[in-house]
Amino acid sequence: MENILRFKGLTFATLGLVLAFLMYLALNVVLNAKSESDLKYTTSLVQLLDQVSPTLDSNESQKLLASLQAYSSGQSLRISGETINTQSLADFLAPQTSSLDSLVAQMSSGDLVASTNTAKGLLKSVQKRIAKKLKLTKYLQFAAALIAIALYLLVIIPMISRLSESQDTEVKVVDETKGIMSTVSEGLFLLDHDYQIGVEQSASLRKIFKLDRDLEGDFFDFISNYVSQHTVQTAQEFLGLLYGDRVKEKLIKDLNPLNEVEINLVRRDGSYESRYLDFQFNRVMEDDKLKQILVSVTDETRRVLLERELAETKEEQEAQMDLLLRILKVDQAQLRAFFSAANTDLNAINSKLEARGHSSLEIQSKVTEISKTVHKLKGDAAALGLHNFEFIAHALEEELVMVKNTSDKVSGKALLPAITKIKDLFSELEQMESLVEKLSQGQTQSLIEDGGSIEQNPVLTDDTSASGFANILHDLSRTVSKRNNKRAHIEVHGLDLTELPDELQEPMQSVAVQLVRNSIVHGSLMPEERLEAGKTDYINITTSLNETDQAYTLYVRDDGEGLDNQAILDRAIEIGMIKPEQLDRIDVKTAFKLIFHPSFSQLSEATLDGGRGVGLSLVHSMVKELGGAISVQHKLGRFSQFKVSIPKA
Amino acid sequence: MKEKSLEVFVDGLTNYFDKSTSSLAKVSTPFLIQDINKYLLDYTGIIGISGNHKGSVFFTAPQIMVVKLITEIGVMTTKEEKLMDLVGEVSNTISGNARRVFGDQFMLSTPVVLKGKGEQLHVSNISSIYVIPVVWKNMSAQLIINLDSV
Amino acid sequence: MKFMVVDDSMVIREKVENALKGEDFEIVGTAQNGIEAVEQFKALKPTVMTLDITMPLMDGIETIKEIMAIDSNVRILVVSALADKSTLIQAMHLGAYGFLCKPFRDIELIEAIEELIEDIV
Repeated sequence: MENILRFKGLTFATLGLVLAFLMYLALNVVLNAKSESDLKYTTSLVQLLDQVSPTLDSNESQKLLASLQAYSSGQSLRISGETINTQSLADFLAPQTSSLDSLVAQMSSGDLVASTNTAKGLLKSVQKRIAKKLKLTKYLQFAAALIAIALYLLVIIPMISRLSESQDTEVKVVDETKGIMSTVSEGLFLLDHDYQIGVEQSASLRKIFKLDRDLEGDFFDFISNYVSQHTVQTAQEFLGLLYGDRVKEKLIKDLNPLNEVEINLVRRDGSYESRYLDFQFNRVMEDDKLKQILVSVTDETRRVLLERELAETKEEQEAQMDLLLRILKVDQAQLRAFFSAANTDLNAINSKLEARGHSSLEIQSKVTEISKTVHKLKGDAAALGLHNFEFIAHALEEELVMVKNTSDKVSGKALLPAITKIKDLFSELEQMESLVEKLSQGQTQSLIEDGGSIEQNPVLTDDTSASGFANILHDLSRTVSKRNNKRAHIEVHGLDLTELPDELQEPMQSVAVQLVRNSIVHGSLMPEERLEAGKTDYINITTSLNETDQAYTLYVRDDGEGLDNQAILDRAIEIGMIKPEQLDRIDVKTAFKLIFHPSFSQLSEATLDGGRGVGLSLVHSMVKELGGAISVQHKLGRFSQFKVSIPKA
Repeated sequence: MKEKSLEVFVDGLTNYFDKSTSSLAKVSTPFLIQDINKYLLDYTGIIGISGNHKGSVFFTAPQIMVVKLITEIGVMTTKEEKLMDLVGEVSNTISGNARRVFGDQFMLSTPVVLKGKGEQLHVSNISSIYVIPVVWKNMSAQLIINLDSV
Repeated sequence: MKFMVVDDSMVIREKVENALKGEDFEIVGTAQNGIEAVEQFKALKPTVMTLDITMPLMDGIETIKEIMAIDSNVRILVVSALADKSTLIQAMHLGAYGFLCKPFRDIELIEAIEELIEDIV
């Protein structure tokens, strides 16, 4: 707009100037023509009068006289070879007619002195008139020049004033724009059709990008310093949409790949700093045509982080509350025993992994050793109702089984999934420990009050003692049977774990847990099958922990299916533990002993509770470690009873 | 999948050995550590990571292995400068592989190479750090991965 | 104005129909996949259309391509759960006019459609 105004102004001004100049020229021509003819007559007169001088001879005088007479009679006159129309000379000399007449009279009378004086007077007055006339011409020329200039100014001044007026607005606009650009908190700039960043930029833009200069060049080149190539490509496609005239700007806002985008700014020390920026793109239209795209950038880091923090806190609180409710049900001493044992176990697992040995064989043997410990951890966690821990341990066990079942050579790479789960177990443990720590610092009371109705443990009527041990086994049997769609009823008799020597408490609990779990998962049919077999739909399990002079004994008895020696043998052949040709050397009656062997399982699929037979082999090795013995009595389809005895030190 | 992230870095490293040398690298069993300094060997390349995951990945190797490696490539030298350059190159390969696979999620810095075990690194870790030993010609280098969400 | 709804979810189809009750639209067709959509489009020639992207048999992207080949004047509003922005941007490049993210409220749908047709009513 301003440009057009400026252009029009200049054109008008130039036209005015030319017009004024032309007028000046025309005036001059007229004036000059007039003064030239005047000059011609004056010169003739001067020549004429020159002759009327005291030095004139009479012959010359006669000539002059003749000329003057010719003049007065209106004839043409020749002076110095030039013909002059005497009529116009007369017009010219009209004011001096009387002087001329007297001059003629004096000359004809021969009065030389008088005629000379009259001639001189006449000449003077004529010269005066001519000078006056010349002056007037100059004035006229000057006036013409003045008029021309005036004309010029008349045209140009309004132009100039209009121009300067628009410049004033422009200055004002620029000032206001500058004001806005220096104070606005958004980073603002324009993009042209080639996605080049415009020079007008708000001061905040540098701040947002931590730059000490303005942004410049191609927009996509610029952002590719901060975001991934994929995002840059998507942004290109998105801006392509804005430059097209089909899509509705308001209806594609959600597709902007640069809203709340995480960018990584490099700090002075070379490290990265993540910020969340929001880029908004708006079409700038002029005369219904897209001219540019206005980009506004805001730093949303604080808001985004706050939102995330809130979400995380909420999640954490929910998880903690869940854990808290569980932990509140469990005896603190038992929890601490578990924590310490779990820490020891996890560290043992880690040390085994850290030990040298990267051949397939060495890795397999590491995995076998680790598996047992993991299974024990899983059982212990389940017994205390620490389901999350139990769940992770189960997933870890699954991973280890996968490695064990690999027929090809095994690389350490196969253990990457396992190690991530070991890490998760460490963190889960740490979290529980810190929670219990907080609880023990006298916060228990308030937490319980805040929590409102915390479910109490059901009272266990048919137990000889409502001990911690009994609670554990009840909880266990409840969760395990529920998870396996079975039903179980457990009676816990005898001593509580706390009545055992410290070093026996933890292993004995693990053993009991594994045996009870084994009864439900492997020993029991489904409820309807049990009913068909003429039994209660729930399996009855009885445990009894006793002390004699020499030993501590644990009995776990159930009215399940007992052990099927033939099935055990078949399974052993199926998984390659024994070869078919060895069969005839094996006493079928002793086949059940195979169940204590690592990697034996009666179930083809591992479950959270069953594992793959590690349970019994674990029991076996734990008992052996304590210098004890394990024995089984059973009858197919009727019952099985495990007896564990640990001699007193 | 956390193991997927670990795998990408491990693959980057083993690929390097497999492609540039005559014998394959073997991955040993991974384990967890708390303090990184005890596990740094003679030469260490460090890749800084930001984006969805934040932290750093270290490739650390004993001098004897780096010398052997550079010899295999056909350069007969024990010049520290050259050895550091090679470690940087290995780290670059690991980082490049990760960049290709992760694309969007990771931003990886250009590797920095350190020499010696003397300098104590201050590595912030909220949880345990992964160590994955890689054995090549009976020499063991380590890939150390410290990522906040892996 | 002739309106067509394309979505594999019956719930969404009904939701759009209900939202537009009382508005100045005549719902001439509903389709649950791209193939149905293209066939109905040929016969019914709607002016406005809402279109899902993830659909069985023929997805939204293919549907836009085929519909554009028949009549590129139709105003298509892509209605989808925002997953992959570049796919949705591709849909715009192929000829859709705008996008509305699932889940949406009735008023959001109506506003989006008003915006979609503001220059032809």
